[in-house]
Amino acid sequence: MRRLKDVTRILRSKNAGPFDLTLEIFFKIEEDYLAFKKAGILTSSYVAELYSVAVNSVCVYFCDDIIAVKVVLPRNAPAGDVACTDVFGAQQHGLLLNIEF
Amino acid sequence: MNDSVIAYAACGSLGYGFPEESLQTGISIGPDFLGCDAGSIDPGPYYLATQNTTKSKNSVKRDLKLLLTAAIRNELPLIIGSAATSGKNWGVDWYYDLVKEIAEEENLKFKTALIYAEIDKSYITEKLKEGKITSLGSAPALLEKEVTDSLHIVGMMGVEPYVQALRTGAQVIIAGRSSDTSIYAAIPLMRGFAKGLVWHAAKVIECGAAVAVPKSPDSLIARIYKDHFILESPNPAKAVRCANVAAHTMYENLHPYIVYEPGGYLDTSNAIYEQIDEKRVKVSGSQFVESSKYTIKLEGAALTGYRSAFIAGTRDEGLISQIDSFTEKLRADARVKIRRILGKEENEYSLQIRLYGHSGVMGNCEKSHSKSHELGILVDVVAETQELADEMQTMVRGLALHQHFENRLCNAGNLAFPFSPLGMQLGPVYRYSVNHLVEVDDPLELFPIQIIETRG
Repeated sequence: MRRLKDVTRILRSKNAGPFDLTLEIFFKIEEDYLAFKKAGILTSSYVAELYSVAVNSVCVYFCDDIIAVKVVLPRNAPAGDVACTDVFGAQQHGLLLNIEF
Repeated sequence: MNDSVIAYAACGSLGYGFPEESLQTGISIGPDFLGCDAGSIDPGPYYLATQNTTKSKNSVKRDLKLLLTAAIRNELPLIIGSAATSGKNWGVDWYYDLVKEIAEEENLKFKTALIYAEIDKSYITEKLKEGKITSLGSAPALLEKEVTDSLHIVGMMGVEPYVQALRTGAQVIIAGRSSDTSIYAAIPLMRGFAKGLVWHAAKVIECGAAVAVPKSPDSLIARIYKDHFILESPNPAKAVRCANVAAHTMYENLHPYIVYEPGGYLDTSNAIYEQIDEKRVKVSGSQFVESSKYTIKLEGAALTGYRSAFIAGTRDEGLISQIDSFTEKLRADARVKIRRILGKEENEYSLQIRLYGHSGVMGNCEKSHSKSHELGILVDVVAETQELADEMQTMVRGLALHQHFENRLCNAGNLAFPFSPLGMQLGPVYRYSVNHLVEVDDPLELFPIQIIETRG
């Protein structure tokens, strides 16, 4: 079993505009990327459940050429909103670090 | 058309700093122009709503002085976009004040173009009625009230205003809110280089040395040729990495390969990245797809209310183990007290209780429940007036300090306050009221250009 945090060189979150969040996972080697892709864990439903958003608001992109996964989802509160917990959206990736596959 | 056009990008954000040596090396290469992005929507609506920027005046002036003197002494254009973070009119004027100071200090003479990007609300409400406004990402549909409530609305200019300014003979351009890439795409496009390559190169270099290692604020150079471009760092200690360039299109973007610009989109899905030597990356195959419509991105900020807050810690095991029920009771009692004493209902104010060491960063999404020996508690109220917010915060604070919980031993007080006064007035709070696209007929219609002969 591998954990995402051990097989990735970048695993981050950031705003894509004030209303959306993007999660990006860059693998160190292709073998791990392909295994993760095959494991089928990171689906829209999984992300929707994890981040409490509607499943049809999530986009998951597996980018074979750069062995990376990109996820886009709405922020739970827009950047700078009264309920915002993270203006830059840069610390919302923690839930992915220990995913095992 | 020349064989190549060379762009020098000072850094990812004016004021971050870049090594002077990088600029010297960059100049020695013989670039065609110098550029720097100076703004972003990232730091939140505060900067668009107020006369503030995320960088200190001295940091900005340092960078600007180096670039301006290098540009004028070497007869190169200097292009700065999204002045002073928000790119509103005040920002353009503030930057121009710095430019004039520098011109005076260094005895420089040049032609400046100021390009403004603030948009009249009446223009936007008109466009709204015409059905020419669409949402970006997950922003809600635009309501007229959000437009009229906005304090400032800016449009992100494309290349056309830059091209117009350059054609008028401007050597230095200080522009308001701008597509980051337009800053760098203008001159190469004017010189007839392929759109796909130009927009892609611009997209990478607008973040400065982000694709180079080791990572620190620094410059980047793009040499654009007929059918490819090459990225390199002017800093001999740095190398541009293929993987980083390939990954860069993703950054802060809603799609891994597609980047929307005012007149179409850049598609990097067929781009080819080659590490041609230790330090340089070659890119080819990028495409630009033109759109039949020309759309400008709009950003607007409105006032939500005024904030008052307190921050305190707890180091009591009993309280920490019951923090969820404690917080629930606190909210309920606060609701009742605020209603009774101030006559305000829940929908008339916002009360946020952030527990650092528990769920401060992820809020309700947090899944970890590991117990900490200590918690940081940040409570803030946002209400219609500062006075109301302060009153509410004081009430919540009093309740929080003395609220009983089961088997409580520390009955002298639940909280460790770091400061006296206990609470903080945090002033006005803003929100993004506009984050939409407007369809325009003329790429220049929203961006007035002022040409000035600047003399030191």
